[in-house]
Order: sequence, then structure tokens, then C-alpha cells
Amino acid sequence: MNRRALLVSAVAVAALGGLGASYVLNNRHVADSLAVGGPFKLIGTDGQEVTEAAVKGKFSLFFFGFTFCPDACPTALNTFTLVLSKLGADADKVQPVFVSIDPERDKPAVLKEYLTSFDPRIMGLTGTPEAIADTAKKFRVYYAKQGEGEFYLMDHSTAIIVMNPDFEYAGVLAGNMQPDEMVTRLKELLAQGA
Amino acid sequence: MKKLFTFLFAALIATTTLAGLSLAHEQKLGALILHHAWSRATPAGAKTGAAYVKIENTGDTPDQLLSVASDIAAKTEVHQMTMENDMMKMGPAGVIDIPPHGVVELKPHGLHIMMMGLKKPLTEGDTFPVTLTFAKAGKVDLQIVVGKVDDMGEEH
Repeated sequence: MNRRALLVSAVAVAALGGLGASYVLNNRHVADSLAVGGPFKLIGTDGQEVTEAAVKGKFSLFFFGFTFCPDACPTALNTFTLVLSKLGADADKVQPVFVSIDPERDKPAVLKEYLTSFDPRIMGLTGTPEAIADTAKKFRVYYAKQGEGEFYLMDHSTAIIVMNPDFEYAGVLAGNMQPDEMVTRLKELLAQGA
Repeated sequence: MKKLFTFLFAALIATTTLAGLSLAHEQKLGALILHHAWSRATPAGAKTGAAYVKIENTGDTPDQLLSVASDIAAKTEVHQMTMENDMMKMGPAGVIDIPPHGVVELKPHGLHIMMMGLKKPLTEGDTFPVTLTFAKAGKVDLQIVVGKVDDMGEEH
């Protein structure tokens, strides 16, 4: 094989390799875009680092909101509180999580105080703006700042994303679902997951 | 006979008092009747609250809710919450039209009086005023009764 042929085949191999790589990457991209939920590195209400390891082993319910929210967020947290109480012993298999999409205002201490008004088993998470953005993206949650100055508000998705005990996507619940219906849906999930 | 009379009189007083109590949650302003003004107790440390009221226009002419004001918060506005698919959006609602012989209800997940920068928490059982200004009916200090933190506004 002369040098020229070698060069040609090297280019061909590189091209094929490139095609292969781009195929793999594209496939990976497709898989990523279908997945809901994913690893996160956030901050708990005591300032500690919290990852998905903290919710593995239970069905986790992720609601994204903010403490400056007057209606949907307290409602969802009240729903979590009632659901935990209505689940009785099954409550141990469920971990509700409230993730702030307003990390600018919702520092760990703010979140901690706010959550004292609800069931203490609800996990509160905040984090750096980058970590929150990354987590929200993985959970397919959209949020956007509305307004300027001290009293800005946040538009946000209100869906509750359910992850199974292996931290795989298990479904979605409407954020305004009535507590009794949520209990029924969770019991179904628990029965399947058991 | 005298006994019966006393009984009837007592019954009449009792009925009037009861009627008065049930109407305590209603304020009139010209052709407008403001029903059941309420708010939820705020979670610990919360800096915002929402208040709700049903506005009934018994008149033949339209009216408008122009503005709201309160001393309890740094900023008070009428806001509209809307759901687009699963996305909750909130923002100032502007002027609210109150049609003749119509009802506009401020309620959870819809129009609400938004109080931002609360100076003190809203505590169950408390009452506080919010001033509503209407184009025709004028001003009224609406007495807002604070319910439970999980109140959803069912009539009590």
C-alpha cells in the first residue's frame, strides 16, 4: 500500500468513525431528550448538599415552586401534607420534594422556615441558579422570572414529577390534583412498584 | 299568651341576630355587593398573600375595579393567574370590568388580590382591610377574614 492509499483509507476510517460517533451521539441525544428527571446536586434546608441518592429507595414526588408564590405552591404543599397523612404507613415509601426555582430569594434558611408550616417529611431543595436550571431542565420543568425589582414573580410548571425508587421516571401528576385522587394514584404506583 | 309572646319575641331576635351574622360577610357599595372576602393564613416567613372576594353588580350599568391598596403589604395589586397547559403564569390584571347584573369572582387559581412584601404574617381568624376603588361605586374598605393555611374558599 502506498502512502497515498494509506492516507485515503485513513481519511475514510476517520470519516466512518466520525459518522459512527455522530450517530451514537445523536442517539444519545434522543435518549436524553426523552428522559425525564436525572441526577442533581442541590442544597437542602440546612445548607447541606443533596443529590438523588437522598430520594432513592422511595417514590419521590418533585414539585418546583417558590416561597413568594401565594397560591399554587402553598396549595401543592398542603396537598403533600394531606397526602402523607392519608397514606398512613405507606407514607414511608413516598418522598415529596419541593424544589425552589427562585434560588435568588429562596436561601436554605428561608425555605426551612417556610416548610415548617407543612409536613416535616417534605424535603426542601434550593441551590445555585445554575444547579436549579440544570435540574429543572432534566425534569422538563419550565420557569421564568416575571417583573422587575423586589417583587418579581416566577412563572413555572406546576406538574408533579414522580420518580420510582430506582430514580427512574414513573409518571406525572397534575399540581392541582385533589389529595384523595393523589393518594389513589400513589397507592396504584406503590402496588406496581412493590 | 304572654309566655308565647315572649318566646316569639326571643325567636325573632335570635333569627335577626343569626341573619345579621350570616350577612356579616357581605359588604354593599352602591350597586355592588362584595361577598365573602377571605384570605389564607400564610406559611411561616412567607412574604406574599392572596385575598379573594366575589363582586356582584346588581345595577344596570357596568362598573370597573380600578385599583386595590392595603397597609399590610408593601405592594398590593389585582393579579391574574392563568394556566397554559401545565404552566402557571401570574401578573397584574389591570382594570377589571364588572358587567351589569354580573358577577366577577376573585378566587384561587384565578383573579386575586396579591399582597407583596407582607409586613406581618396573615394569621387565621384575623381581619384586615383592603381598599378597593371602583370607577362608579367609589371606594370601600373591604374586610378580609383570614382562614386556615389550607383554605380553598368553600363558603363557611
